[in-house]
Amino acid sequence: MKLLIDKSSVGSTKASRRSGFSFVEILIALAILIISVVTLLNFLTIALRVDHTSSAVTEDLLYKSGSLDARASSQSRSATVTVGEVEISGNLYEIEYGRVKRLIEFERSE
Amino acid sequence: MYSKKGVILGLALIMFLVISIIGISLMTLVMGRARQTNDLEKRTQAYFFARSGVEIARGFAMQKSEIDNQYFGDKVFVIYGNLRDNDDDNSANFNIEDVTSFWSESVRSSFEASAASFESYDVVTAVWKESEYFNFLSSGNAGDMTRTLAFMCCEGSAGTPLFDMAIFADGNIETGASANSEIIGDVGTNATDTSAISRQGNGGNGKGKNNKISVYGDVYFGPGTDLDGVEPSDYYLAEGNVVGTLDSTRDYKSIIPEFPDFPELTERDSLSVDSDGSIINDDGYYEEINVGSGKTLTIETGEAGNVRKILVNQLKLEDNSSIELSGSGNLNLYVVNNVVLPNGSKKMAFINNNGNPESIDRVVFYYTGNTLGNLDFKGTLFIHNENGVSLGGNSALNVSGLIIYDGTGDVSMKGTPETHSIALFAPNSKVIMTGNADFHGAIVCNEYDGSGGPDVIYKDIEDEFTEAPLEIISNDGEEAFELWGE
Repeated sequence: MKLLIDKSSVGSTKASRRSGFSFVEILIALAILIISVVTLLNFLTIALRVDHTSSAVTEDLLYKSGSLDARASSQSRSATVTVGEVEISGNLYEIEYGRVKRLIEFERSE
Repeated sequence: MYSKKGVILGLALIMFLVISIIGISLMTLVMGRARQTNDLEKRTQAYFFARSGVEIARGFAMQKSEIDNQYFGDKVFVIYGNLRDNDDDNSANFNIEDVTSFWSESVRSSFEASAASFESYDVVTAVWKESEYFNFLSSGNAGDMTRTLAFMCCEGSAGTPLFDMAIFADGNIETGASANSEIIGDVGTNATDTSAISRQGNGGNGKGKNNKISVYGDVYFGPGTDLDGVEPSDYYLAEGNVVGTLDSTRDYKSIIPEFPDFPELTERDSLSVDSDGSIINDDGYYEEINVGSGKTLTIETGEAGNVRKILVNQLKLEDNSSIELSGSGNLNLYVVNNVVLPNGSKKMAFINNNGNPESIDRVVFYYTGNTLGNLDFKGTLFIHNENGVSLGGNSALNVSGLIIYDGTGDVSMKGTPETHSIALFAPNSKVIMTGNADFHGAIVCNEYDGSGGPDVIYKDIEDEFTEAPLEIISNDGEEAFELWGE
């Protein structure tokens, strides 16, 4: 059996082994790619969500600041601001935007 | 062949790098967008805080000014505080600081320079007054964002009341000592010293003597005068009249109309009117105009809106002579030297005698002489000189409109002359009335000095001149306005 084995064929087998990628290499490369792609997808999802939220907040803010300016659909409560010994009566207007945030403005009574 | 070793790892790392760059870029973009939104939120809130600051400071300024009109003067105040701390009882306490001594150079640059020291407060507003205008610089702080608004406003005013008192003086008023001296109408002064209004002399008719009533009206002192212990009898007021204070200081000096320069007109021959029918049809300068006794000179004024201008160096009006108007226009009569008028207690000359007494600005008589009397004039008389003027002559001076004197000399009415007018408006001048001189109308002066038994009898303009336009003297006050800037 030993005679049947050609030395050159032994060498070519070694050469073919050398020309390919080891299983470990492919495994590491795949791991890197998977982690990268997953992370990128995660980033993408977060980015889309943040972008969507920002757009929604911006849009709501612009709309609500207009409403506050026009005193439309804003909540108001009587408030008093004391400056030194002078009391200034008025209303504190509040309007919510972006679910939990709010804008505040004080307007004195005529 | 050995070069292929580890290539896949290299490729994977390169792809990792590319993906990372893409990811970081994406996150940077998204974070930038989020930061923009966040900045917009803070900017918007800062803007509303800045507006709130103007509201608060304006409320403060209005309330303070109502109590004390001089409160602001040249002072600069900074009002600052937080609006977000008032959730419990709907009240907020703001601080106020007088920064006049630190910010005297430029409020705007000082305000900007001090911004950092106030950045922990929601609202920071500087307020100061210039003339009638309140200025506000208001910053709203939200997070690290600051918005500043500039606001200027005038709350407006009804203007200074014109001719609502028999005598109004910026300073002292001394009424005549005689029992016959009467002032029928209110008397007022800007002075805050209760001795600024007094009765001349201390014997016979003075306080503690016969106490003859001197004023048939109320007496007013400047705003803030301490009236404790002051009695109406101190001023010899008629029963039911009171001593009070003015709502605000009256500044008549600033509304004196400007005396015009005499116009340069075509020189005409001197005119002597010895018979009726003389007519002046054009503007012109006359060295002398003499209207004979009982004669009439007619001045054609043209159509409505036209102003005929006649400049006379020497005007002489003999007894019962008159200057009348034809047409529908107005007349500006400029007279340089003293008008020569009839001399005698019953003698009078007339200007626009047939005119409507309520059209007080149809004829305006611009005069640089220093004496005028024995004249019946329907129009307004505007006297300009620094030597003073003597009114009334030895008979009467009747002026249907206003007598305006813009100089600082004395305006005197001596002897027994009578002067009738809507008002004598001489805010820079001392008005001296002696003997039995009478003035029918309102007097506005710097000081009033009555000696002997002069009378001032106030005429209510609305009763006498229901349609009288007092446009010659503007008292419209300040119109309310607002101006925003950022």
